[in-house]
Amino acid sequence: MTEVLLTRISEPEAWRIDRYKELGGYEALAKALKSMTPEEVAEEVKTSEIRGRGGAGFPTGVKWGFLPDVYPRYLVINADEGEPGTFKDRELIEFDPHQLVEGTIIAAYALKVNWSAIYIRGEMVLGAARLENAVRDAYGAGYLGKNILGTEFDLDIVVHRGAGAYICGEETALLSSLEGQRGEPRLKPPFPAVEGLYAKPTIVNNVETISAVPHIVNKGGAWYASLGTEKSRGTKIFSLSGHVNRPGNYEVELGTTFRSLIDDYGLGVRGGNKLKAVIPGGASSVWFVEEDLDTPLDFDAIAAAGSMLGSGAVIVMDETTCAVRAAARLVKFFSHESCGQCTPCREGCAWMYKILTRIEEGAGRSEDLDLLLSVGSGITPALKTEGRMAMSEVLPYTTICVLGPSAVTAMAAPLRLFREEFEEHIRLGACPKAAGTGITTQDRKASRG
Amino acid sequence: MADTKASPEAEESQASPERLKVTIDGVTTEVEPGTLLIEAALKAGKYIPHFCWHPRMKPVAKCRMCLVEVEDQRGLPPACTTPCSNEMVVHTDTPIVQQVQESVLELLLANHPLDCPVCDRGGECPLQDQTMAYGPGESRFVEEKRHYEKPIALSELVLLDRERCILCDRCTRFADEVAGDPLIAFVERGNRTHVLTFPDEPFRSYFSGNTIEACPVGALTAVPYRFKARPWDLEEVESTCAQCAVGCRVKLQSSSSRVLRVLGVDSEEVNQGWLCDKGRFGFEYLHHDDRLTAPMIRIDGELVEASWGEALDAAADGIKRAAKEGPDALGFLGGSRSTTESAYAFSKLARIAGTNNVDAQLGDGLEAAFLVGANPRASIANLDSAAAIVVAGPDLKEELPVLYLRVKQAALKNGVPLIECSPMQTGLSRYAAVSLIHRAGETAQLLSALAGAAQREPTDRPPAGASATDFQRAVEIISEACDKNAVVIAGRTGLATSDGELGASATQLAEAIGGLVLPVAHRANTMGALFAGCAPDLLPGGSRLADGDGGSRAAIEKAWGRAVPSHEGRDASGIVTEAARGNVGALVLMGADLIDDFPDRSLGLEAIGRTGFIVAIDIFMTPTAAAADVVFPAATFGEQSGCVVNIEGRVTRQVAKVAPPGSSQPEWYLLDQLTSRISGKPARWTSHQDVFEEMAAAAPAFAEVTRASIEGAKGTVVRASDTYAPQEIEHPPIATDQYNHRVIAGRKLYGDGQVSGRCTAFRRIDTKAVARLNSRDMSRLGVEDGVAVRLRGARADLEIAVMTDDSVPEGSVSVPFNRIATSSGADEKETGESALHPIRVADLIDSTAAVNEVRIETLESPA
Repeated sequence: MTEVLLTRISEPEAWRIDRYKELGGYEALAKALKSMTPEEVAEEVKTSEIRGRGGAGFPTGVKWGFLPDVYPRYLVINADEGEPGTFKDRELIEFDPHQLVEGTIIAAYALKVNWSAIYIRGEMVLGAARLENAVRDAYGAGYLGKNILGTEFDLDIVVHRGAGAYICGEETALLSSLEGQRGEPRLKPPFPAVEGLYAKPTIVNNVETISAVPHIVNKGGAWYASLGTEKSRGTKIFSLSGHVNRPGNYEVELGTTFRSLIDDYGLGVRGGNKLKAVIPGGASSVWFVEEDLDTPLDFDAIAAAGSMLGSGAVIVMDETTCAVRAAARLVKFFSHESCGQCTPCREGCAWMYKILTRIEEGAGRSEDLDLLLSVGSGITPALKTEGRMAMSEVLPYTTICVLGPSAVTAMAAPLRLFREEFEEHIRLGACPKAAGTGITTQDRKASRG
Repeated sequence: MADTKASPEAEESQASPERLKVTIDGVTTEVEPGTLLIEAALKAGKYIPHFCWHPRMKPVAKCRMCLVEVEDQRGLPPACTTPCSNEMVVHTDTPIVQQVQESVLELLLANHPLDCPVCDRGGECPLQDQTMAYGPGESRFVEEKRHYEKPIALSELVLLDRERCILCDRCTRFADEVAGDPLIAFVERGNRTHVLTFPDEPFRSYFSGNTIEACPVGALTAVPYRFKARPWDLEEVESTCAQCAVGCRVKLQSSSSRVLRVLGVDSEEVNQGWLCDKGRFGFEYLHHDDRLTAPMIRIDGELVEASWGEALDAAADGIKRAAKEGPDALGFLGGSRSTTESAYAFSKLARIAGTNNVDAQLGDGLEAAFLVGANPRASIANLDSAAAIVVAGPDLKEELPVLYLRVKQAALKNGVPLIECSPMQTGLSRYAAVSLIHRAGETAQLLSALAGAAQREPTDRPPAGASATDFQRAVEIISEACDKNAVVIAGRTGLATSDGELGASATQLAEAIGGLVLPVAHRANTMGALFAGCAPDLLPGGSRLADGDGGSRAAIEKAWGRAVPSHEGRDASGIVTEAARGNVGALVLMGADLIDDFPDRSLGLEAIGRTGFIVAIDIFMTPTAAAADVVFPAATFGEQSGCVVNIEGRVTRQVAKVAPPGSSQPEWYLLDQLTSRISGKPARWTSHQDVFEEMAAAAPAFAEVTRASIEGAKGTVVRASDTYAPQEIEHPPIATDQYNHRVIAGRKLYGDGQVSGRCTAFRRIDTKAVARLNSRDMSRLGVEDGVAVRLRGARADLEIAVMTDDSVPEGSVSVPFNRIATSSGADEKETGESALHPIRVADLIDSTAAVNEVRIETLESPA
């Protein structure tokens, strides 16, 4: 384990400003504001080659470079962590909120921004409270407000709580929500860097990305770039969950393998069971199986293997897992979280969920599997029907954002990996995995609510 | 920078700056920069299917039906949001595009109830049509469909069936973007997203009906039209709306000789496709049982049915008898509700009978010479690109709703600074850069002061109690807009003030800032009637009777074979005042109700009571008609063809669609018969076209107006022969009494008039009249909302409930002119007692005064 962002997590009360300062906090801020120009700070971030930790993996330094010379401009921190299986930002915020605040101030300085918002998932009650306290204390200490640390630099940070919509983690929906509108993704172009919050140039960065900024300033971009692999620099926090013996957040250098993450950090699959599948990068990523486990945790290596690193949510499923039920549950999530503006996503996700549920409950028809793939192809027309699915099949897509395509992946990846299991459900008119568990399909119907 | 491929911006700049070349499915077309692909395709004759895109609203790309492939571009861009770039090559019928279209339709239909047989939209439904053309032909959806309660009422006029809704966002965008009434919105999300109103806040927008027309399915239906017809059974004509003087273009649809529906026509010049709900739903009076169906004459004090010949003889005899007493023994009022042809026939009859005492306005407008001759006159479309707009007139939202939409659009979308000069805040206030709220009746003074300030004449204090800061702001705006086509909209601000100099001072302001004037009038064809000569000082064509230059008089006398009387005629106020003194022998009233539709009710009643002989030409037995000696039943909107003239001077056609009830006739017909009986010459006209041709020949201003030129939505614009040039303006001083409240009596869109009151569509809309007062005045009086007070006016007292409304300035009281005023009045209406004369705001008003003031008294608490 190479802990950079998580170093203070196990320190008692690191969320208090005095503790944070004892542990070296706000030194990077002083260094940046007093001895570096904004351009120099931005250059260090570029040198670090850090790629966005929210899921898309776009190089942060390059994104910052897209800002046109227009003011005011805004920095918005995306703390609306909602991808199933992802819980890294929550831990960063709950246990080390000042790291995020310090990173935000430094980033705002580099971007010449005087107003920044942190859009935090509404369900993170403890995190929001700690973050609000941290912001308040940072004002009290002179790290926020007018003439920060005696310089000409002013910055205000507003903590804004979301209201329970996954889609608001999509950056343009987040901006709409922040403006008080319905949380619906916007058409791109224009991209937020050109026309974002209140139609002004806006950088939207993930909590983990911004939390790395103080370290990059302290130790230099080159130091950060020395970690990880050639195209995936630095460390990354992986949220390991599911059927492992020790789930949790693990910060590792990029390039570590899935096998190492699961066996060395997660202490292996629970009960010595056989591994069935791994969702490698959040609910919208193509599933991996045993033979993929030696893939390094690296943006490009995972993409080459047909999936994506995404937000770093690794969900492990052992052999007791019903692939149909897992797919139905994931598609239910996307259907529930669809904003509803695009026809294919609004109608298609719900339809796929209904078919999957019907199969799982024993009312599947032989034509349903092809129908599922066909409905999916209404969202991602290049979707293939056979062989293992590759992430590239979701391009092009017929929706404004990638929520709809994510649901297609959540349906098609397991269906194409475990087609016989789906067929068995249809043939038996019941879930074969439910046999022996004492759980009947009726129970599942009831628990579905 | 090793990339040799130029960026899109660079490519565009290399191309001709004017036009872009786009190839769509092999057809190359040239378009303006900024054109969207979907528009370019239409131009190239290629229809790209779509649901959410609407040419008059911001594109949102939600339905995903218009996805296309563009060469060298990734993905499937929506044609409705993709701007054309030069040398763009687009494919709209590739296998993948077709796959997407089939899929979108299958998905839209998955939860759609397919209750097409009982759906109003069936047969004219974009979802049906596009399914036919682009759909998969079968559904594979076997799950249970989504269910909602159907339908639910969004308002008194609009119902919503959420099962049919495809969530295209058109109605919600319209309400927000176009109407400015964001009262409907998407709620919930994903598969449960639906359109809804806010709790306890219905979709009460004056423009709500447009959402029904914009809906691409049958989700929104109109209460008045629901289940009334199948679209294929409807016949339609294009016509011009008769509800106000904007002159929106409409489609009038009927079945079995009943008008069933009115739809908007997208006329860029006028209404851009929109209608107000009064225009859309206010036609049911046509088929009301109360319509007059036969002529009537008074025998032994009772009105009894008569033959047309008897009635015409009686009317002609009465007019001839009075005419012997000289020109001032006659009065002709009306014409602004009629076609221009009928108004022309009315004006001609008056002159043939020997008088110039003719007026189309009922003392409720502005100087006729200004209304027809305003110069330089603005068009409605001039508002879009005006440097500034000054509105000095009625609340446009209440009186000319679609003009309100255009002004709002100019202010909000095009950033045109709006200056409002009004005695109280109006629907436009929230879009105005400055609201110069001032004392009612002193708007002209304010406009003159603005004109002076624009010409650097020092003003120590703005007149009419306007705020100095606001005045300064306004001066800055108009100074900035000088010589850049600012538009001054001028109309009567209310019926309790005479606004005598308003036309002159609006003209003065327009001159001072090098701008244009757009005069506004209330009734639909006021301009047409004035152009036809229904004003004491005007001849057909809008030439000045007194000047007599330009050969107008000679041309008219030649056409009529008669000399035009040369005495100085009286306007409506003069005629009614003289009649009230018993000096008028005969009144001829055409769509003119002196009791319920005249600003001074007691004067009107007196005039009716003391005039020996009254002829009423109308569609209902109005209180005035009930007191007449001869009553003629007239054909009206939708029952007769002819032309109308809107506020711009635009002449368009109204077209007959259904037969008038009983033996009702177009007014020009019976007026021709009367003229013949009075002049002793044979009647001349057998159709409205004969009238039109005589009018065009007689009036030089109409020389360019041909039957062909007024076909279609655009029509043709006429200008008066004599333009309006105001004399030196003098503003008589107006005394203010701080114990009194200045009365603001505007009209509301929905009233209790003869026409609106007979439309079932409006029956459930609350039209109770209340007096609105500033909160400070309320507390000074010590009254609360809903409490009745007594307004003591010059003419009468009025008991009326009060309501706090801070859009009314302190010291003023706002009362709606066209609503029944008191609760006791409403009771009378129900019990049938004095049903003929329910108490109205007009009872309060002395129309001979420049302003009206009332003293407000609290009532003793009921025993």
